[in-house]
Amino acid sequence: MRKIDRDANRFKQIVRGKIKSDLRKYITHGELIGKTGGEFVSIPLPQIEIPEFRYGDKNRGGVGQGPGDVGTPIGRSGEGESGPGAGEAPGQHILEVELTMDDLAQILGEELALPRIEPKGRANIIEEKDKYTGIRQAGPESLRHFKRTYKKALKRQIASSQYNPRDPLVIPIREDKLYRSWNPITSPQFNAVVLYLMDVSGSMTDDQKEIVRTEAFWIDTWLKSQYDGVTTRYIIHDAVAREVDEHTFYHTRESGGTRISSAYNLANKIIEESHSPMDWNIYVLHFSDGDNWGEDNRQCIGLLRDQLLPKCNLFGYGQVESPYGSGEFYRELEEAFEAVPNMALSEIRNKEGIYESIKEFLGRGR
Amino acid sequence: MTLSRKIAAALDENTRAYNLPCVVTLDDGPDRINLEITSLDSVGVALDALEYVASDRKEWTPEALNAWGEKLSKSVSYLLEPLKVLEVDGGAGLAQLRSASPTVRGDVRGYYEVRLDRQGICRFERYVVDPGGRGRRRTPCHLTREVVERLADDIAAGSS
Repeated sequence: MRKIDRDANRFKQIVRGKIKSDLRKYITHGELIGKTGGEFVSIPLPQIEIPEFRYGDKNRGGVGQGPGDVGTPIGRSGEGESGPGAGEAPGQHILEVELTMDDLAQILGEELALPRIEPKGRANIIEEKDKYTGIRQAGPESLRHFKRTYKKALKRQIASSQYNPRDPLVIPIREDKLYRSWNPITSPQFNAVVLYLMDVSGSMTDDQKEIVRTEAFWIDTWLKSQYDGVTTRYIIHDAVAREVDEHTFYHTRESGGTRISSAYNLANKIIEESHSPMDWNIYVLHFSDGDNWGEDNRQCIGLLRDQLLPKCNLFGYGQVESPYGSGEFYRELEEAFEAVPNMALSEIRNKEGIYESIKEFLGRGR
Repeated sequence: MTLSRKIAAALDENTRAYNLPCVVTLDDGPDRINLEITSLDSVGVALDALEYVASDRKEWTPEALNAWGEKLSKSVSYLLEPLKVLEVDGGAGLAQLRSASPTVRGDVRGYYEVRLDRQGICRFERYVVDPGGRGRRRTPCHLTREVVERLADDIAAGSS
């Protein structure tokens, strides 16, 4: 290993340690969400200080300027007055480190002690990939393996005494040329679908939606690290449910009443139509303030027991506290599904509660 | 005689006579008001709920309920917590108003809640959120007599 690689690895370890120690802050602040770009996430690390020399007062003072007489002492810098106003120079920059989403998921898993997920069902989706693992003597010039071709030509020239070290010219002939070749590799692919359900009735404020957004980001990050392919679908509901895109999911506010069963019905319909439990690992995560109207709670419990829970790897319900407190729905579910292994319940009182809530949802290894 | 006058008269006459808690019912043509009183003196009233029933209309549409709620949120400006229409459920025939910002006193948050339903019933209550955050409970509304009288008039006016 080259020294530069060792240094780079050491730096990476320092960065990982720093992120791990501040993970709770990153999770609760939600600042990483806006910094994701494709496979990378950019993390600000203002705390890493690069060591530098600091000079004492002694021996300070510059070189004199202008004509002087012999013996004139060079002036010392004195205690000057502070200058007026703010400076124009740029301030200290915050160091931003780019991390892959997989690395971030790994850090999350280590810090929260999350067990790896055991995908359920059969992995009946077989993916075929081409990998360049072999060498052939024929192939297109674009795939020519220059290093091996050169070595083979060199060996031939040395063996046939054609190689002159003073004039190290190596000319490959047709027999020397080697080309990369590929082999198809088949691997089973585990797929997962995550259905996010959110109550967007009038009692859900923007702060609560921000909590849901932050939590969904981390759950996504973890699930994507555990499965080959993760499909995400979004459902919003007040008294009526509908499927929407991600942006609408986080930015819609309705003024209708709250009927949670409408969302459960739609989720069940989507699963039945597009995501057979035989082929998919299914996650349903629902967030609400728990203010469900009327007799709908009983209907929700029936739908969960008979339809959704038998199909899901995990059903997670996060009750986000509103300025008006928490509704009764959490307690209803707690009573009805006390010891159901694929049901995770979490009360999220504020942003600080996201950390524990993620642990609650993902700590079951399902 | 308006509802407010009837309320004032009923409370004046019976300040000492009521066996508390009690429900005082007052009718004014098609309107009826029930005051679920838990405490009463010459200045103020503590109410578990104030319920108003407008029986001059058979069925209230969601639009009519929303309009009633909006009128209330505009006219009832004298409570420390202004009201706002939070949810209107057309299917269930319900509209819900709550304090725009709950009042926080120490660990306890409190807010008013008004429910309007398709039978023309308006129910005015107050809730507090337990400090532990697990659930909420109803608590008496402490209002001066003048506020109760004015509130009753505004609820009735909003329904017409």
